[in-house]
Amino acid sequence: MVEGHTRLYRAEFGLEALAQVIKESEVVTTYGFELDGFRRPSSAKHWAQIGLLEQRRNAFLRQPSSPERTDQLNHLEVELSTLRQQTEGHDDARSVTVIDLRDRVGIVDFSAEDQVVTVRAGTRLWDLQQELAQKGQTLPCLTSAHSGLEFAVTYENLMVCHLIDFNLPHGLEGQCGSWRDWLLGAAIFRPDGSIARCGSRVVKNVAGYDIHKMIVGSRGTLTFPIEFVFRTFPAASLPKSEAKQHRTRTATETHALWIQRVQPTDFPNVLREEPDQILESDAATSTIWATVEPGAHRNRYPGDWVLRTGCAEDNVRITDRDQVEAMRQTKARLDPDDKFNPGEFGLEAGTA
Amino acid sequence: MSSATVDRQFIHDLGLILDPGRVLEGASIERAYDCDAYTIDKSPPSAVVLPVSTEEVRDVVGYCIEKGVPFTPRGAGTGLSGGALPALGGVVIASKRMTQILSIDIPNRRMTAQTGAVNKRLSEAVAHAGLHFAPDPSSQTVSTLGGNIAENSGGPHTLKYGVTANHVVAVKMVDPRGVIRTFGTLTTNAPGYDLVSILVGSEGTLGIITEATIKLTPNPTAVATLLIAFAEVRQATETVAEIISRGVIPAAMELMDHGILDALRLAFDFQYPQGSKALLLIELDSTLASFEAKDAVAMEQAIVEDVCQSHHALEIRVAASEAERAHLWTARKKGIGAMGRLAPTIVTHDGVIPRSKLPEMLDFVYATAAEAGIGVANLFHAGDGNLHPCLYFDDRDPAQVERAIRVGELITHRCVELGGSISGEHGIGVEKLDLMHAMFSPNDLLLQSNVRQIFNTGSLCNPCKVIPNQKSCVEHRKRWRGAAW
Repeated sequence: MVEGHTRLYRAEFGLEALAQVIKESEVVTTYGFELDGFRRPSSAKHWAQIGLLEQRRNAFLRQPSSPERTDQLNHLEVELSTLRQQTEGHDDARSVTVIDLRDRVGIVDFSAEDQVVTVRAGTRLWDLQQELAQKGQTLPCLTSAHSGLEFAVTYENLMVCHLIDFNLPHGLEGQCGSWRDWLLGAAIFRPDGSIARCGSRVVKNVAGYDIHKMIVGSRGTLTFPIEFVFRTFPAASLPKSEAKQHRTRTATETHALWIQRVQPTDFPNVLREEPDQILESDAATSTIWATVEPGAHRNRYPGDWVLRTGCAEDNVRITDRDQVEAMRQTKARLDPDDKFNPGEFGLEAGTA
Repeated sequence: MSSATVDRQFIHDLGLILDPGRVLEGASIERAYDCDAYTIDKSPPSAVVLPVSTEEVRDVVGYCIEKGVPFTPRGAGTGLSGGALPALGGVVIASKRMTQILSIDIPNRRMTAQTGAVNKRLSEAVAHAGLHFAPDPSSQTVSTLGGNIAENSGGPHTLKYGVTANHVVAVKMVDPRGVIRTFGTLTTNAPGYDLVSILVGSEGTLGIITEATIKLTPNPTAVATLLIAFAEVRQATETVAEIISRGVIPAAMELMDHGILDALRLAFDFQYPQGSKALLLIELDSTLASFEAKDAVAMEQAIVEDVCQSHHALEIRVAASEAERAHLWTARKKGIGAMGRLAPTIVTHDGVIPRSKLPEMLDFVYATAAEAGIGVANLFHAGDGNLHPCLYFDDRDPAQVERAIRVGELITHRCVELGGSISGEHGIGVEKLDLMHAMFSPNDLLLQSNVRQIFNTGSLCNPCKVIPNQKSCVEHRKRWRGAAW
């Protein structure tokens, strides 16, 4: 990371200006209300975070000296040092443009009778759900009011683009599907700043490849988000969730989060193993949310997958040979200069 | 090498790779495999092979690549957009002998099967456990798992249960380089790029899927099936939108118009209330525990009946038994077949619109067909807004064929103008290649093309499908049409 090579751009000047910024940038990543902790340290998000913290530190340094300034500077230096340590060896010398999506919010159009909503990428889930609720519709992931579940609160505060980036499990997935099932289409920027659309604005469509579905879970590495089209559901007829809160995470708990999905036949064993670690579970998808000490593991099962925080490159690790090869080919075709959020999956040769 | 340059030696060598009995050729084979159920365009293959395993598919593909011969995968040939048309000739790789169910895991609700297995058989194999494979295209008694995956097939019950993409978790395939690859996991939504979502619905252009692991869905514990007659098509279409906006999502909501009713009367002497111009077939179901399920379905049924009555339904028939349910479905299932009474040729179109635009769209369909002097009847998945205007005409008359094609194009363009899609479940194939421009901009198509190149950078694997204006395809298009006439 070269100091001073990060710039924050607020996406408030329309798509044309944004297109130009993307076209001219070497590395692009999003900024806004998002999940911390799940990313790998090699992610451009980390380089960008360092750059932004350095800018804050430099701004403090220009202020007159005071005890508060000293405290904040010390705090920033500690944070910077930790991030630098994590990122060491993973960054490159390219400048990073961080595009703040907090101004790209709101519904573009919504028809309750067609069950279709188009929403700008920076919209927070909470705000979207409020708008949909006025016409009796919803996106069927549990709200905190509906469930009282801890993860529901976390989700509501996130932007839809970041929820799509991660495609994390939620408490109604077994009954109503995942983000991938509700996403009908998308408008995105390509690395050259051109805009492309994929999917459609209707609930059923097989024209062309389902590229929008591949964007779900791609962690911002393939395209840059503009708008998403979702299928909505009648709020009144949402099925019951089988998600359950086992315990609440304490404020001082520093353990890493461990999300694991297994096959149904393995689920009873997962629940029996170190039950005190489990925060939440969803029997409908055989998924648990647990905490483990950084670096520690719970048992793994055939065909399962794990997402975690606090474990550096192990936060997400793709090991299947065919999958890794195809992901590299995908990245090479859609983002040949590795502009969009590089390092997120560790796809660079020899790293995965 | 085009089909014209496939020589005796090539055919002989295919026989060594498989065995001679599983390499078919000759005039009758060319005729049988020169199109699928989209019969307007035709192009004969040089040979048809019947592999029994993924490894044999790999060997055939490898040999085709070595000799520069195009190859096209084919299931049962029930596709309605020409996806299995051997556009540049060459070898058709048919999955007829790849019909094994490889494993069934009832507790985890998963099944792995070869892709030549027939859709209906998959459900029958797990019926004893109260499970089924949810996608139920009308062709399900003959169409194959591979064909369903290639076209991302739907069916009446996809309104609630989703299309094939929602039910495939992993695939094994032979890619266009002749390499066996596997994608997906037994558990859903694993981290990483979702390549299975790209492969499902790719119409065989990204490789040949030879095995798939699918989800098994519990059978409903309570079902209510209603057949509602209306005096006007518009009353039925308005009913559809209102049912959804009242918060009810039926398992199926199918609409049949007066053209279909006439055909059913002629073919099977089916009787409907005096003055019926449209029928809505609505199925409500629940997979809750049985005591809760009955209540849930009864509550939805009350809402549906209320909406239907407010739109002046002439009659609401409710199935009182499984036999009656099957009888009510007969109208839907035999509708297309019955149309054979109306004309020698039926072309079933496929387009999607926002369901709130159904009344406006159907008015357009009737007016456009009438203006062109082409007959039209409609039988479609109204809940999804997935239209299937069935044009009937005589394909021995080239002028009628041209007019029918024109009507189809106008209907498809109108779907796009109303915010919809050019295909809801039949795919693009060769039929709608030119119409991709109506729905997608050049930038959108470039993105599609880039995605194709993730797997397929050549021009041998099912060429001339999905992406318009592919090199070496444009000049062949007239030939396909000429063959049909």
